[in-house]
Amino acid sequence: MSRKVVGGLVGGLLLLVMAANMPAHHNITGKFDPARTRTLRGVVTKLDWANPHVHILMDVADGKSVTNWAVELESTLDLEKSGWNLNTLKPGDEITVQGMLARNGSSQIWGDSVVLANSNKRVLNVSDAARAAWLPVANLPSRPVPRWPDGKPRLGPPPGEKGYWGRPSLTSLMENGANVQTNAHGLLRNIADVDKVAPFQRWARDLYEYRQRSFLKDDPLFLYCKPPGAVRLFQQPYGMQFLEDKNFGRVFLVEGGGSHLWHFIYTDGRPQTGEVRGNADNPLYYGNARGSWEGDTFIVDSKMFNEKFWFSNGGLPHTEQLHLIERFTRTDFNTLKYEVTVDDPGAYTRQWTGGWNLQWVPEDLPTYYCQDNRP
Amino acid sequence: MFGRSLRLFCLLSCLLVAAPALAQEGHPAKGTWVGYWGPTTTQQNRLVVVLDYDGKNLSGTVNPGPNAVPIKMARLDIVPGTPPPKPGDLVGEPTFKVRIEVDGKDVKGNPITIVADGTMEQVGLPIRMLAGTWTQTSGGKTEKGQFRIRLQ
Repeated sequence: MSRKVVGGLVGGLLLLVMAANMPAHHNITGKFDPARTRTLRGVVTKLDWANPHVHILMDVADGKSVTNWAVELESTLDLEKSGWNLNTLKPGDEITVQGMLARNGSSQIWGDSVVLANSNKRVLNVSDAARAAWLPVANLPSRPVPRWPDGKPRLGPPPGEKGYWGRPSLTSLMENGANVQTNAHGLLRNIADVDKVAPFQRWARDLYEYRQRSFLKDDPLFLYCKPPGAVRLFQQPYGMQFLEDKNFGRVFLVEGGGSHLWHFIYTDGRPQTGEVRGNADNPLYYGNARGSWEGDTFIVDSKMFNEKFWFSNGGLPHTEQLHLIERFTRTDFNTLKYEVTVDDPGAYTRQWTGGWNLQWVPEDLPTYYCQDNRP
Repeated sequence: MFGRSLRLFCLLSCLLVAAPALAQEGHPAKGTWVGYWGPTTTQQNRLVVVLDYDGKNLSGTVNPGPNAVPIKMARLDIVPGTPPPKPGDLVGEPTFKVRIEVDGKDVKGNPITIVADGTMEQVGLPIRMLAGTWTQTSGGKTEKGQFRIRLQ
């Protein structure tokens, strides 16, 4: 085997490994093909510094013709955390881009590497610090659980402080005890593990496998900025926040990314209401949620979800019969233990339970928006 | 002329915006499907098929309203797609087959039977298609043709 071939194979393998560990907030291999890479040299025509993803538009000359390529990069949030901004590139800058080509054959490429030709400086890459910002931090200093005057744990910050819950220890839902590895987006490392994830009905299993084998390319969260309803709210890289409104017996849950949607959990004892197909009191993507306390654990009973979203990373199907019992326990200042029991006789053969931990991030919710602005 | 163009623009805009808003990510066959069936491309009949899934079975109605006929049996069979040719490639689209059987009375009280065998297209997208063969017997007359319906 020639050195060139070996080099190519090693390079391809490295690219695959890199792609699997990329910090992208969604699974880019559904759109871009790790097995097809290309290097482009051309001139910047525009830097589109916008959510959900930054894009460079560049003219690439190929013989007599010039093609305008779209180079897709990480979110504004990740790039700003890495020290870049909308002035990092200007129209007329000559750059070299290397990355994965779009699977659909269009002139789109994922910008694994962007290098300024005149200085050979790499730009618009995500720094290690920015990458680490969304991952759990080890050995945080211990503090007691903050409490309300009535003795119940606070799910939000103590007075005068700020913070939100993020950095989930697990970003895909699977039945407790399942020995299954996924990437940050819920994509199985081994497709043969499909049956270990949950007790699927046949149609749900086959649909889940199809979504997995398609690298989650049809995920409505990323295609149309659909809300991360149900369990998925607690798997998001940009976190979520509890705002406890004791006076009115309700808790707001606010999403850190996406479209910053919020919904209520009522704690005033009112009965479950609403209709599956929606009414003024039915948030649809988050179900009708009722909360109560059992000791230091906040228990949320939610039902009447619609079917317009994926309720977990990785594409687990659900039906309108989905009924969730979620248990939130702030085990110390920095840790929120999340446990969920899934009861959906429309998609699963029995009830099942999963869970993970969230970590306290003593900052404001990130400023990131995903909105479907296409005409 | 301007008003007509504006109306057309508004209609198209609504359709484009509505497409993702009407996504159905649960059971792939569930929902209201609208289209046509007919023995030839020029002889086409309006067709509305409403399918629901209760967790065990599909049920529903063909042409709800005055001409409604209940579905006797509907079934979804998913045949997995071909494995990817090499790691990193997309898997072949699985085949989502739907069979619908109707055995009832038409609007005139005549016995009617329908057997439809269809295959879904672009199952992963909110607006998917179901197309295949349609065989209908009513009033002693059997007609065969093709149907093509789209999830609303």
